[in-house]
Amino acid sequence: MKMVQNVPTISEAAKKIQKGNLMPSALTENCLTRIEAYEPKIHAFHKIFSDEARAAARQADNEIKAGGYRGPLHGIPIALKDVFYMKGYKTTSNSRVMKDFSADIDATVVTRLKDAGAILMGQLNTYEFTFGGRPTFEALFPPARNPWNLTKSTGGSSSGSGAAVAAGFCLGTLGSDAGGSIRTPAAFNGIAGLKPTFGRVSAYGDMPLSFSFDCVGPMAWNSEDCALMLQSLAGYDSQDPGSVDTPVPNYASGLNEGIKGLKIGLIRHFYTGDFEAPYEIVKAIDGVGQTLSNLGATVEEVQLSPLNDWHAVGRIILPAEAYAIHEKRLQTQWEEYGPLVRNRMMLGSLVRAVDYIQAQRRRKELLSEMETALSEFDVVVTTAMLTPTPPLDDKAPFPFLDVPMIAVPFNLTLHPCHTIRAGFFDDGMPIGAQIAGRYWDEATVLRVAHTFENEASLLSLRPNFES
Amino acid sequence: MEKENLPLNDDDLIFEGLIRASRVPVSKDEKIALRKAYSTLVKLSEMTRKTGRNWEMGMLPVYIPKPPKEETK
Repeated sequence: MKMVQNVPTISEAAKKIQKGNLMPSALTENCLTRIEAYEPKIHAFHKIFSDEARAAARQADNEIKAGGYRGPLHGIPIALKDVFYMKGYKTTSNSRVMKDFSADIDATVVTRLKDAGAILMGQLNTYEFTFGGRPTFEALFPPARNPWNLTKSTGGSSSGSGAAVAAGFCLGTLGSDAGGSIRTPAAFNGIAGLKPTFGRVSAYGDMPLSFSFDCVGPMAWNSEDCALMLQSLAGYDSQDPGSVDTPVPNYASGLNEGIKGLKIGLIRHFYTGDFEAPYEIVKAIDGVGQTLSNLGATVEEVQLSPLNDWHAVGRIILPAEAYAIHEKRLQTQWEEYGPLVRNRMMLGSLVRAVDYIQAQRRRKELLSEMETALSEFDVVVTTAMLTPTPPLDDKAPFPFLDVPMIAVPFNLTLHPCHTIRAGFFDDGMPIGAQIAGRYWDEATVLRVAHTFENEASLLSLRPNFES
Repeated sequence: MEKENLPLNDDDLIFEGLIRASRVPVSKDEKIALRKAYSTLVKLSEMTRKTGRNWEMGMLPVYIPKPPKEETK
């Protein structure tokens, strides 16, 4: 049974739905059938909205039949990381601390997906309190498993979001990213994931990890689908103090314009000098640069500060802010936190005020470097991973202190950054590349990504976990 | 590592003080793991102190009040 091949992309499904050739109820039922069959293997969900999804799909059927087609997400099955508030539902962030928490609001992104007519399929697995690094078996729900190899990590923290798309349980998901939590699981699961410019998508109703870095963004099979999702998610929200009132362009309209004449910077020293990544990664990411060059872009290496400098700043700021958010609960509900996340958060208690400020000053210098690079180049490209996909049961408590975090530079600088499938390891696991662009210019980032995906034709391969 | 070669703050007393100041109960085993992590954290923190930095270099994030919309018209 190769049902996963029957799961269309958002773009493919939307065209059929608009023409009346595909009913949202049939599409939703296909996804629910797959969830019923394979979720026990994958553990992508914390909660599945079977009845609600069927009801919403029937409503979408009727609206579209009556001429009320709302747009490309109408009738599309989408699932949400279990960190977004949904009125009437618990939001747990996979923590016993939050096992009975119910918000009395919908997160703005939930409202926007509902307004776009998306079919909400359920709440997805996450690392506890979205503090990435590795999955934990001590949290409220067991960890999600990677559809490409069930013994491997999905990456995180948006672990269920990556696994659900790769497994064909839904066509798109929402993730959140403060240190790579959209881009790392996108890379590990061989899909696309976009961290938009900070302020582009409202974080109102997203359970916080880091006030400096928290971003919400789409994850889907390819970049075109991320563009379609971003179109509905983006835009000013007065309820989010970090939201910025700036025009939202049409993200899909320019995807096929090609990349001839663009200048692309390859941050090669991140994966060849600052850290010696395996040859498969070097070959794949260098290959992205070569493909983009073949397509008419000018590709040149760009030199920034060593990756460890970026890593150092991120590793000071992130736990300090997470600890500040959780301080009271850590003092009073210590036993309810999984040991992995509570010790990671405790690192924040060891950061003094002066350390935090020095990190924020260094961050400003590094941001200036990236701005200089992006004044010369339209986008910059580097790897989304530095090591082979780790095993699911990796026991290292603080791996992020030893291996530099390759996603962190673009959290520090707040630039839009997108992960795409760039190749495969010899063992068949996917390799991801990051493409980052200028502030508010997600459109160019997505155009470069879409052009590469079309040329490289790597996305025809799906994980085979069904036998 | 010799004591004189330790980074400035990689010190058992400071570590113990910070843990105590947190008022979070930490088990003996967890404290051992955190102590090792703290050494790494101190080294990372030293990397953020760039030699020759202008002392007026500010920090991020910088909050800038936005004028009322009617004043920008």
